[in-house]
Amino acid sequence: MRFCLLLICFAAYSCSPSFANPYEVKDLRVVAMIAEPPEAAPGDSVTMTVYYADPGNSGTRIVDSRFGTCHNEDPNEDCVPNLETILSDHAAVTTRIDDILTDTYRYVVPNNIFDGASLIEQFYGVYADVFVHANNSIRTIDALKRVVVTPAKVQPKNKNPRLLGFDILYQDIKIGDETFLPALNRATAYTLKPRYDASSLEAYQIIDYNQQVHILKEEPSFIWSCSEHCTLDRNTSYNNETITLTPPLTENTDNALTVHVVMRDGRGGEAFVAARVVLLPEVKVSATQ
Amino acid sequence: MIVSNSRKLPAKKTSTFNPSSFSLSLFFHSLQPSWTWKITPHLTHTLTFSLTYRSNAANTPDIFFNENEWQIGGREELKLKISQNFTLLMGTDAHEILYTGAARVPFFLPYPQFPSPQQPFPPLRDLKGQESVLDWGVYVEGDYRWQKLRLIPGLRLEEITYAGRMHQSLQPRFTARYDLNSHIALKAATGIYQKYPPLQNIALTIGNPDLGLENAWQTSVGFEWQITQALSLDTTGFYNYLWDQSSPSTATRLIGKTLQPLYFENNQRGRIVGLEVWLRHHPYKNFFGWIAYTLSRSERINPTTPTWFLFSQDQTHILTLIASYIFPYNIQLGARFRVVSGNPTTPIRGAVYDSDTGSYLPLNGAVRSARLPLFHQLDLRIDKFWVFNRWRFSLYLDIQNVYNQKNPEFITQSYDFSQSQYFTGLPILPVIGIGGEF
Repeated sequence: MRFCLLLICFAAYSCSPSFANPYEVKDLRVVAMIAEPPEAAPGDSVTMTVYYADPGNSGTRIVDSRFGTCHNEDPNEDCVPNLETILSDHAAVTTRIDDILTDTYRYVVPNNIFDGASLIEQFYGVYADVFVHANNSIRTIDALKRVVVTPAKVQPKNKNPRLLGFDILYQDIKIGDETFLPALNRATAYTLKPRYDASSLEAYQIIDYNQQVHILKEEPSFIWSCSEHCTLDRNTSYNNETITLTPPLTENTDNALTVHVVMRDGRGGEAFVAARVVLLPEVKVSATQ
Repeated sequence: MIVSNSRKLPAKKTSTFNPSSFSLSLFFHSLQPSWTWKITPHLTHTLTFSLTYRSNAANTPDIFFNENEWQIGGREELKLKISQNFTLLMGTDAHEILYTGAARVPFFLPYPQFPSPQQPFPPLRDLKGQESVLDWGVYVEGDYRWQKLRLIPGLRLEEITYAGRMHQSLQPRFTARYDLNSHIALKAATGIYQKYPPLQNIALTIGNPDLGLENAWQTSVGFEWQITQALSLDTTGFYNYLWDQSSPSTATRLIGKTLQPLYFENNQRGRIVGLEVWLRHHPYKNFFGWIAYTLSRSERINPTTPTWFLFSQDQTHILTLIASYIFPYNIQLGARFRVVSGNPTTPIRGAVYDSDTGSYLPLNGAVRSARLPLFHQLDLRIDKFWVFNRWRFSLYLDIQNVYNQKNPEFITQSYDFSQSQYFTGLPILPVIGIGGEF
């Protein structure tokens, strides 16, 4: 028994990975990729919008992005971005709001997408994988979004949820939201709470493994991120859960940081909001003789 | 068509996986008394009883896996010397194995519905199960000697019951040995071996109780050379072919009007080829030790994989050096040094941000085409014995990993697979223990 306890202690001691925090955006990253609508029928047009965060880009750096697709892939295999499958009809010019860059692409679901699909797939639907391959001359990244393609007769089709923004609270008192945020103190804990339209979460029917038919309602989840040196207590929240943001004490020399939040309905629906937060200047105390 | 899983999934708990703290524990206790009765000069009866307890556990603050196994068994064997050249061995054995397993793991069981709802992190699910195996067998083995030749044909009949189903097994085996001279002997063996699949592949909520027996055909050739009175060399080349090995599966099957996921299938084949060299210094003048080296390659293939790939624990080189010396006053000093090839790994050549989940998907390179760094470790042990009339008491100090080598056990990855780190094994570990032999 003693030996076993020793094993546990030593094994726990020997493993303490020190990786980068997933919420801290340090270099070019896709923070959201939204399909509008998220569920479509063959022949439908879908607008793909990609949101990039590109820290340190003051507007002079170009993000070159190209789109590609995978159709009728093995459902057990993910679409792997491949230069050979990149579409030649789109070389994006990105637009910029603060440090968020956006890029859009109109994707038309092929009419023959169900060719070669199994009977089950023809009945239920398939994924059309759309990916983006982006480069900011420093880093190359890939991102993937699955457009749900169901037969035209399948109605209603899923819609994107509506994320209105987020409230910021200090000691449980609302002090602002994404449209108006006061300058925040450094090294002080603030609470962020997502604000969304609950009526945009849809009900849907599902058959479980015990052959029971259930009417379920979409459960929203939120992935949070922020610019370098910020601290979040976690990067995922569900429903009306809150997270805690702590601005850095010293590092941010531009006295600002950006908070990003992505809302997902769990069925491919997605929404995105970003807001720039001004920080009070760093107070430097120097000793005088 | 409706997809069904007759075993109801327990309630989910939503939490995030935190790999920053991880612990492992392994327990193993075994008791094996044996009684031999020489009934006549030509007939010997041996009775063996065994009781084994095994426990494995892995824990993080959020997830865990633990399994316990009790194994109770017995063997009765009769050895009858029919003539100067022929000895017959007959026996029967039975084992009962009780297995319990429980786990809380991030696991997302996709609904049959399309699109299958997804979440940023798979919900934690409690899985648990228990299984018992009753393994009963009879065997017969003839040992025929003719001049320098020795032939040992054998046959084992076995009935293995698990998941409420009985499986019969017939396992023929054959061994031959030829003494070239008084120092060198050639040897060869072949046989069919069958065993029940790993119980966690049957018992847990996501196991398949219909898995069949796993099969292996093992064959070997080699020679033994008694170099000196104390020194011998044993060299064996081997080839094993495995089939019906259980492995994870995404297949489903139709039962009535329902489609049920299988989770595991007997659909994997394997092949292992290698060479073992064992140079032994038998106990002589207070010293014993050996150098053992194995060169091997173990591969697997599934119906879904186009080519053979390395087995997850394939180890090309295994070198073991053992030395032990008994000093005056019943003090024994032993050392063990091991060098082993690192286990195969699949390299990650990048990652894709998956916007449906907010997580990253790894872009894998060729399956198991890379390896962890070489494992090497020195262990030392010093024993002090006190010998009494009917038993022996010992006190020992065992120091594992003397020079504190950080041997990588597996690789952990950052959230976007851009950073990786080795999870290393035990550091230097001194253990003081006592023992008794009766």
